[in-house]
Amino acid sequence: MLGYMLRRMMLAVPVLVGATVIAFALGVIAPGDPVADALAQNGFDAPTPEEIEAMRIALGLDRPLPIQYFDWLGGVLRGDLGRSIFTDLPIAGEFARRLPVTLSLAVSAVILAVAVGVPLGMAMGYWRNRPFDHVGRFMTLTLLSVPGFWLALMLILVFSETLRWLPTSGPGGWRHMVLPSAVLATGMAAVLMRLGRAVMLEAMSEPHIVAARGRGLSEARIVAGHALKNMAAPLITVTGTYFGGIVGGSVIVEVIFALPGIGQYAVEGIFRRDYPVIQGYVLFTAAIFVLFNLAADLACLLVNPQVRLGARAVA
Amino acid sequence: MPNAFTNRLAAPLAAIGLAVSAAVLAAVPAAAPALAETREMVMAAPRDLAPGPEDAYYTSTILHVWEPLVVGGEDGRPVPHLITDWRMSEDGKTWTFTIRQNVTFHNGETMTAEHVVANFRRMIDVSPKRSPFYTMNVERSYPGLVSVDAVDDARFTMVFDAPRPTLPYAMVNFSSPVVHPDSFDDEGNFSRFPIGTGPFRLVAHDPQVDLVIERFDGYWGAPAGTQRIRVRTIPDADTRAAAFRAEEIVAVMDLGAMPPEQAVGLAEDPRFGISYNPSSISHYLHINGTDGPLADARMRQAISLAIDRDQIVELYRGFTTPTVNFLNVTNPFHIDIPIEHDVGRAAELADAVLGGGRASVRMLVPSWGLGRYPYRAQSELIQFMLAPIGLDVAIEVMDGGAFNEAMRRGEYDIAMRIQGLPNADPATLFNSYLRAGGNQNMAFSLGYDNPQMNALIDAANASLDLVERAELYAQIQRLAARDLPTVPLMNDATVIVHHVDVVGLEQQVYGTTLPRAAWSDD
Repeated sequence: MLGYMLRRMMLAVPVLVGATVIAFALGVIAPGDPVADALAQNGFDAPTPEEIEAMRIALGLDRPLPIQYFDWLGGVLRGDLGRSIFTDLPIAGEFARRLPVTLSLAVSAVILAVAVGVPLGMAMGYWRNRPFDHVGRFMTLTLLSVPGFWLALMLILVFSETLRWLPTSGPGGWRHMVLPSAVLATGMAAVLMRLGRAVMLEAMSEPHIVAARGRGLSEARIVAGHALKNMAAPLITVTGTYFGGIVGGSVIVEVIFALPGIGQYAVEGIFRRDYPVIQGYVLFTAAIFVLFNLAADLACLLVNPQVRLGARAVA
Repeated sequence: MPNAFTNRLAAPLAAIGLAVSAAVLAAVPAAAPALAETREMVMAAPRDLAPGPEDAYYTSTILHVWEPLVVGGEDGRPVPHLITDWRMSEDGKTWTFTIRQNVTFHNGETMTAEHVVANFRRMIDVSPKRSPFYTMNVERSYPGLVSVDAVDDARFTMVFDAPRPTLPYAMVNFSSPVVHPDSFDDEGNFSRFPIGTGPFRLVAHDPQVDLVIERFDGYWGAPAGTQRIRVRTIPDADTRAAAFRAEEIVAVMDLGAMPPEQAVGLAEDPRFGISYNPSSISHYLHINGTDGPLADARMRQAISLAIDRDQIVELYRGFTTPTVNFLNVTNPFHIDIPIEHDVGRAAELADAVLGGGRASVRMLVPSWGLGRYPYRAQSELIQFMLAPIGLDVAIEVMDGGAFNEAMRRGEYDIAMRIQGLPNADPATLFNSYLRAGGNQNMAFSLGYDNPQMNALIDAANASLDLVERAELYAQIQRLAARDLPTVPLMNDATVIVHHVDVVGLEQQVYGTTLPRAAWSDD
């Protein structure tokens, strides 16, 4: 187990180094001059070439690219992601300030999706081709097809404007997280419903289930003891991937619901060509994905120790 | 089989479903208090109006936390605010200002000339300093500034290396902020909330979330009409409108606070009212004058003649005003120039250039404009209007950085863009746009170079007589309307929406009458 963990962590290093190179290169090759734009943030001012050059020198952007890269990498290793060209604020500090917003959004969305998606999906599988299954399949299709921004506006219309149950936007406690979490959870809930259904169908047709029935075990014990167990590993994998995706990509929801999270910060950075911010975001997202994939693999291993990974397992 | 399952597992499933429903329903009693239950006035803005300690100003001037020495009057002319009068020396190089007496900072100290001079010295030290409002740049606001010194507690002087007869015009709003020097650290950043002289104090700020300002009881002027205002940052216009209808907010402010379409929609609700005012922003079609078919002045004239500006204004629900004048209508030197719309003459001019053929042109639309203005419909309308003069317009939406880069490189034919007045002196914009080699002339690849225009700008810059200068400015505007180095479309307007329970809140050229805002039952 420990060896496996170490191997996986070692494998993550080249992935993260590759991500830093790509993140840095993306910032450099992206069209636009962030320095000129930073000196004309309102779109009205027109900095002179001399002013642009002076700021470029002040920011160290006149140095050769490899030096800039290794300087930035050195900072990253010390936990310093640099400063935003636009706001002059430390990027690591901004991430730290915004991360709780995005994390709470991701956690609540995943909990909601699992709480709704898994039981409904398994019930669909259990009642295969019954009306409940048909309705459920239609629901999954609908949930997967609905655009997030539209759903967000509809939920605001119903729960905030009409019923006045929930606030339209902004952070400020769990009530503020209900609507954005619901929007983020819909896609994942639909996937989990399909997954739960498939797992249940597969489990119920396996010989040991038939044998269990033959031994007179109750349906509830069969479902809880066998089908649910089969669900654990794919559930962890899907949840891990989605969690990473939400942490790195809840941009639209954060903008619509005025939640100052990582996604909103990244989108501002992209629009402004604020490439230290973009670099920090790409690196952060890559690290999150690596971390959660690793965690998901380890969790799978813990849930089902019969799973063997790597060459030794095959042997 | 299903029956057994139903008996044993339906209960846990139902419990989960009920728990989720209960979580939502539990929110009901804790819903936001109605307007009448709180005396805090909650407003919203599309961006954070307090960018923070590293910003040149910390807060926007529209929050009235800090005040400038000079503000713009209703006619656009400079009006003394934290000063009471000014005097120019005979050679136009030295200006002496008398500061307003009995002005108190939020920390209780009385404002002196030394405080004002410290602000100018900080401006010199940190320029150019970044801000989403206006870049603080002493070279731009006060070119040729030699020194700023206090004469005594009540007076200070500014000395220039050349005559500056329109200096007060350049000092409006963001060009002359005054905060207590204790607000700054050694690097010229803010070390705390700004200690201003305005009717409101900044008392809380959660970046990108909200800020709170409170009435400053020691204010030198009329006290603010409300005790406490919270300004939430809500970037999405649809969400701002929803927050209005849910009565979470009572007003919006800042540029692009409410797109015209949504403002009109909200105004149909008896709970809300709107206020609008021409803003210092103008909309233009910038034309690449360095290359391609549009480099010929006749094509720019053809484009201007082919565009029906009244139709474009309809997209803005009539809030904007059509114009062919390069200079914004709120500027005190603005003159009226008749608008011509003549598709037949436009086609003749275009035919002469294109030889009866057609040309494919690329029109850039900045993506940020799609949220604030009806730019998508506007670009399609312009595309339609230019077809009869032989221009096949391909529309390209670009992000800000790429958009600016394409303009700098001259990789475009037409671009939709806005321009605001950095101050009340049009010389800044004339020098930048209309003079050969001017900053914006180069940055936008306008390629405009008319010796007659250069001579007029030089003459205006050298003139010490304001009447003569105004006449030269008028000639510049007429020549720009003929040559069309850029094609002006309309003067923008800022529209705000407010709940009818809030009185006294009106939109001005820049900002609102926030200090006068009050609850109707107070």
